[in-house]
Amino acid sequence: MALISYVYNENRPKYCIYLMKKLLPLVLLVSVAHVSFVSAQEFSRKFGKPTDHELQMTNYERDTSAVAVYLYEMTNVRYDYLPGIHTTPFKQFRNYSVKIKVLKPEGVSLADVEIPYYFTSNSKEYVSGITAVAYNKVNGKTVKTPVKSKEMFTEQLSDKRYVRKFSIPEVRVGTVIEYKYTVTSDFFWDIDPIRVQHEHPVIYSFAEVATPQYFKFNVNASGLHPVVIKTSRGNSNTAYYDDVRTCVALDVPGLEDEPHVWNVDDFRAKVDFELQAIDFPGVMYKSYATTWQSVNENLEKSDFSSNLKMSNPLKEEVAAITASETDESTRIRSILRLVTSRMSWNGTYSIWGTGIRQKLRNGAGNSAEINFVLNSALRDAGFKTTPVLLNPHQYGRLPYGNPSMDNIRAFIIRVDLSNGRTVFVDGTNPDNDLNLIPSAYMVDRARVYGDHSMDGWVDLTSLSPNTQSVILNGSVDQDGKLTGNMSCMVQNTLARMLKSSYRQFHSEDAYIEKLETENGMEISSYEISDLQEPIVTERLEFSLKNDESGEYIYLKATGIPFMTKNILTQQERKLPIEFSYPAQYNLIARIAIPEDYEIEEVPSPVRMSACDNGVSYVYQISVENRIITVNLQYSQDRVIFTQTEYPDLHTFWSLMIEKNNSSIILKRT
Amino acid sequence: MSGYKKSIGFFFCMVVVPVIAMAQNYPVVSIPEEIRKGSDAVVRYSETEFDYISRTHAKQRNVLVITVLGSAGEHMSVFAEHIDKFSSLSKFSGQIYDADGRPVRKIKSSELKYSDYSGSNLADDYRTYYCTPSTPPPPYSVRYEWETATKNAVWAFPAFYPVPAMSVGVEKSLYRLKLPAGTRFYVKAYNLEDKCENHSDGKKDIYEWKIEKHPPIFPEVFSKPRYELPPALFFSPEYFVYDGVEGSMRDWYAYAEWQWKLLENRSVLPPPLKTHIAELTRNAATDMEKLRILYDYLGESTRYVSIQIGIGGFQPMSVTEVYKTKYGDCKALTNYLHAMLKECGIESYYCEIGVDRRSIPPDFAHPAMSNHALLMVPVKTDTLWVECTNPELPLGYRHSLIVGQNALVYKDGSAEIIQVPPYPDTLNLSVRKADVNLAPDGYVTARVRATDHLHKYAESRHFGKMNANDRINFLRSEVNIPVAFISNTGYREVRESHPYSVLEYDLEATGIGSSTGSRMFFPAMLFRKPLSVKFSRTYRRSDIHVREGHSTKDITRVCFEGNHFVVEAVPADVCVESKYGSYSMSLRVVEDGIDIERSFFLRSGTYDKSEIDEFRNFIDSVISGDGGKIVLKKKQGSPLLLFKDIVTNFAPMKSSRKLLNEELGRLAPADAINADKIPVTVLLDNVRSMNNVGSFFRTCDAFGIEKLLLCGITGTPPNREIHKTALGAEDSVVWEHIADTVEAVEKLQRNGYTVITVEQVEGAVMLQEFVPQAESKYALVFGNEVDGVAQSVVDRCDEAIEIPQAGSKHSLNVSVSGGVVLWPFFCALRKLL
Repeated sequence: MALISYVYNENRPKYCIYLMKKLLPLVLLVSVAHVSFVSAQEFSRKFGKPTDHELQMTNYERDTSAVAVYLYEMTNVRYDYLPGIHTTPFKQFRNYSVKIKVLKPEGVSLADVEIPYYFTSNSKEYVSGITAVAYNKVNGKTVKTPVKSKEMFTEQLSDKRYVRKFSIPEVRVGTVIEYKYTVTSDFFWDIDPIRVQHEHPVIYSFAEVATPQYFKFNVNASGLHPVVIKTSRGNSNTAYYDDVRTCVALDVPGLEDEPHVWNVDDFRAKVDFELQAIDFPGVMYKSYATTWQSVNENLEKSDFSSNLKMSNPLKEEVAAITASETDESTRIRSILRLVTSRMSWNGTYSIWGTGIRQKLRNGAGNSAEINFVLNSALRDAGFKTTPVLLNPHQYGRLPYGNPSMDNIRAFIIRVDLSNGRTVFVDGTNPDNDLNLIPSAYMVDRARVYGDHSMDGWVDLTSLSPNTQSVILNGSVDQDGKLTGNMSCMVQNTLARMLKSSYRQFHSEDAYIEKLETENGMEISSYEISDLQEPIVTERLEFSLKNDESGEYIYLKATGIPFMTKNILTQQERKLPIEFSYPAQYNLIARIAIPEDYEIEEVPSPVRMSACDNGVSYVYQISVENRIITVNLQYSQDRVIFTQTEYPDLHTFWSLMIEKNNSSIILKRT
Repeated sequence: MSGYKKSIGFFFCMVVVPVIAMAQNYPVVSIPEEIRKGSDAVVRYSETEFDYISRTHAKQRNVLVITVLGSAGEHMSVFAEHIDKFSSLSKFSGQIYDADGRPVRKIKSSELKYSDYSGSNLADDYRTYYCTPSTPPPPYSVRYEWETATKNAVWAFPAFYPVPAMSVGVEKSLYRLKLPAGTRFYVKAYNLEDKCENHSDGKKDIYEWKIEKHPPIFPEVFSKPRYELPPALFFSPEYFVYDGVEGSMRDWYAYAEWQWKLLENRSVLPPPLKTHIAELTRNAATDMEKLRILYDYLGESTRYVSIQIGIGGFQPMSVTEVYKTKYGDCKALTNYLHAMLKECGIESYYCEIGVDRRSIPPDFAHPAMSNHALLMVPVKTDTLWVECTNPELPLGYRHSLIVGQNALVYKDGSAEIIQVPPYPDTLNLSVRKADVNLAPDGYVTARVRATDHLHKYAESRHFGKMNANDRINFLRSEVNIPVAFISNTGYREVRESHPYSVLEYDLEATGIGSSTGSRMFFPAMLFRKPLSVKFSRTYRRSDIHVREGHSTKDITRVCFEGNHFVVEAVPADVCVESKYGSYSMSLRVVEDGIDIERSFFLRSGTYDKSEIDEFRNFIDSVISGDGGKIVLKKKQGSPLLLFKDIVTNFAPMKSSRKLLNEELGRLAPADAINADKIPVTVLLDNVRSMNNVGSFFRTCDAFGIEKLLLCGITGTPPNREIHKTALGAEDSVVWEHIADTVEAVEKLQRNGYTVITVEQVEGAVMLQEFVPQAESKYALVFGNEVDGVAQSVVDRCDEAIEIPQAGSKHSLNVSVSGGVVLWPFFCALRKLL
């Protein structure tokens, strides 16, 4: 048995049934928006006309490492009014065409094409008009090889998701691939974002989106590469006119993912279309959420709101807690424990819940269903609660403007305490606690439900300190062997990580072995505190060999290896650096030196900070009564750094790692 | 091979009662400790009953009860059943139990999902039913019961895999075969005793295998691959019918006979291809040349696309189809090359092989044993094994997935089993040679050359595919020098039948390791990751297995420039010889440096687990040799320019009272290149000293100068001397080298710059009298240390500025004058920012 995962997105908006009834009486005519392109000599933007230059080019000058380059990519979205015969009167036509030059062997996989589409009983999408061709120069002649329809396949991915697949033949290094298709869609309210930027560079990207005047779309370009958007009015020979937007981008570089990036899509050049309103003058006007106020209002009307008001399904248990616990924090913690012990997260993020009581009986639910239960239990215990909406890291950030209900993935709960303070809780992980939410939830932009103003934004990146504190006491003998004891305390997120790492091992012995190998030490005793608590302490007795030679002992100043690897490995950085959580690491090592040795050299002390105190580091060393004390503190207060800060951050880390690795030289007297 | 016949082992009155009928409880506490220990999940009970109705029809009934103990075992709660066009899922039900074994809920049939997504295959005949039920927090149990039916194709009985995954213990698992009386079949057992109970009721022969109380299996270091660890039983019927084609699975010859029918008539060449082949090979003298030409043609003209359609995915696309589309799967491409070679009169043999699975056993035929095709081509002196799906592999190189595996080689209507010969371990050679120069101030420059042969070559190939940035980042992670700057990377492959790659790069770093005071510490292994293996010290379950042997050599010479260092300590030499391989690490201190030589040979082989201590001792001595550190001490003289000192310079801790908390943010590359700049460009006309250039970088960084133009002989980064005075500012200041100063001045003027020479010339304005204008853009020209700004350049400039002086010397040092002149510009223009 294997876990199966699929690449396509499950959600499609699901309103507008009522609207279609209203539209049917309208009779409208439509003409096809006509587009003409400027054709350059070197590159052609006409389908079926590859130029000699395109066929002969061997690399892409702006990026010689590119394995393929999009010579053009064009999308044309338009609408037709087709009443009567179809379930929805407006149809969306999305014409897509692309021409790709294959430059390196890895680029041939671009000839494997998949076109996903949706097919439900009410609303359907069709893929039609697929033309796909490979062009090759053979003996100076251009040879054209098309894909035949029997070489195209359709596969069903799930009950409503399908994919049309084909592989273009005769594709090798040097081939120009070109294909086009049309998707006809009943989901007229939903325009797929125009993705201007891809893994491979794009020379010319063009999109024209013509929407009937009745549909008010908000257009939003984002990403690091500029897209020029022009708006005009189209076709006047029908009963309505179109709002036409053209989106043009030139020489778009390939977008590569980098380490420490939450979601590379946040930086991808793309244009999003959000339906703001449908407005048939004199017939109907319906607004769709485009401000946080309207999102709040729409949520208020939805079952999101009723789920927030549901009665507590764990009445007795909560009553027992309120009866026995008087301290507010303890009460909240007990309720959180109660809910996480009754329901496990099924891995799905959502803000919607159905059949929540049954889900509770089943013992599992999505992120929303668990938090609805948690919310009702907290309310029942007398707390004032407010949901806070957010998108986990991997889904990108919530937008400041033009938000849409469908793009909010999760929420957590803010609880007001009687002392005026607030705490945030979430029930998707049994190791969560007050102000300890999953790392993926630690976003800089979350939204307080019900607050329409700019004050509604809340930063969840640093709700609670994530600290590791190591205290080490030991003595080194004449052979350079350090023997001592050490306590390592971790808190919050770091504790949660330790817990999951500890539990991965089949036995404590196996975990201790891992510690021994990682640190090059032998552990003679080990104990770990209660894994139920948000603070976990490990205590151990250990011994570790230092290098020695002749009359010298080279003593590792920190006693044990401590933050010895630079996590920033890139020489250059293109995207901002986004860490998962802020953290602080402290170490105090007190090491007694052997009788007949004296200290010859010690590392120099350092205090430094970089990136506006985003990171800071202190390294102190002192000697008293033949005991060396090293005090080390690293603190990373910020989680997001700009790409221009990278050189600083990198230098900072390099200096710190160098310092952490340094030795004390002891000499025999 | 074992064949079961009806006549043996006839038990009277033994009735096989389906165990399914009784609803059972599965409390977690009843799991025996020896199974629970180390398990993420436990198979409580599994029953598979395969009812072989006829050669074309069968029914399979399954019960599976799994207890999930922790989150790592949650994947075991997922149900998945793969079916194809001959089979269907006829029944399905599921039930979830809590930790105490109490039923929680039934799994609804609506939770069962269906997909025919074929993933990386373009198309195939396989479909999947799957179910990912909502479950309570672990521990809990899931029970599935399902049935499948097969029509028109039963060519093997399902295999018995009682231990379905790593870290899963098994309480009880049983497998039952029901066959029409007298049916012959064959069994192959792995890691399991082939012991069964059997009886007959006259119509049916019934066989039953079971396994009880099997502890979990874990992947261990130096053990056989995961697919070889668990117990397994494979079954083949003597006769089968597949999609209307009859055959026998008696042995590989019988199987091959059947497969021949599928290969027949698939290799007719279309006429244009015939002509093309004739053209291509016209001038080739030998068979080897022809083979090479056709192999290259195959690689250039086709590509691999996985298509598993047609008879069980066993019939290749015809040559005609491949010629038309220029793509195909391994079978199609192998058959294609085979046909082309035949056209040239070259004999070649279509082969089947198992990759990422057990090698084909010679004594047992089963269709699932092979999953790949390749071509065997005997040439004069050698036999080539040709992989037809990856044209980037050099012809004749036997890649690591196929070496050592048995191939089923089709010859003249029959077949034989031949092992694809492995390479001798010593030929998988990897060499790193490095020359390291250590300057008196600790600055490191090195040239590294890495040569990798055969399987080591195959591992290095991904480097060739990386872009420039990724290459640098990859090498930075490979070397054991902190903050290395990599440049001039070069990579080439010598694509012979014994291929190798050569990778070269330059490395610079401000320090070779860490330092304390006058001492520097650096690892003996500078340019390769030291061996790191995590052995468990307490238990070993599986035999020791080294699949691929190899030989690595590292030759590093560290030279102390100017002989400013003495070696205070080196690790003791290590030299080990054992049956598992050999290792030596030797460090030789010479007059002006140190020579480090490491050589590690690991032999391939399989050893009994009782040898683990001996084997671990060998590996431990490698680890300890690789971990050696060298200590250098600076001879008397100037202190080291190491990171430590840069830090001390930048952010010293003067006293505990008040701390100079200098922000690196301003000193290092800073918000740097994108930060706001003042509209001033500095032009250096033939400045000779690199130290001066470095100073200008630092000054320009400090004052936010928009650009530094380095003209004529003026040196440019990267340069060690520049770096010493610039201290990294060369990365934060935009600079450009322009050969001709006059041209640079003219270009600036065209772009609206007021170009000012800083020189003592007639009509020059005294610095204190010059007022920079807010709306202007300025370019300041500084000249050579001795000759000043060239007259031809002075002539082109719009204005001149002179620094008033009262001393005895003719002028200021050029970099000092830079600082003096830029200050008033900075004061006047920074308000613009």
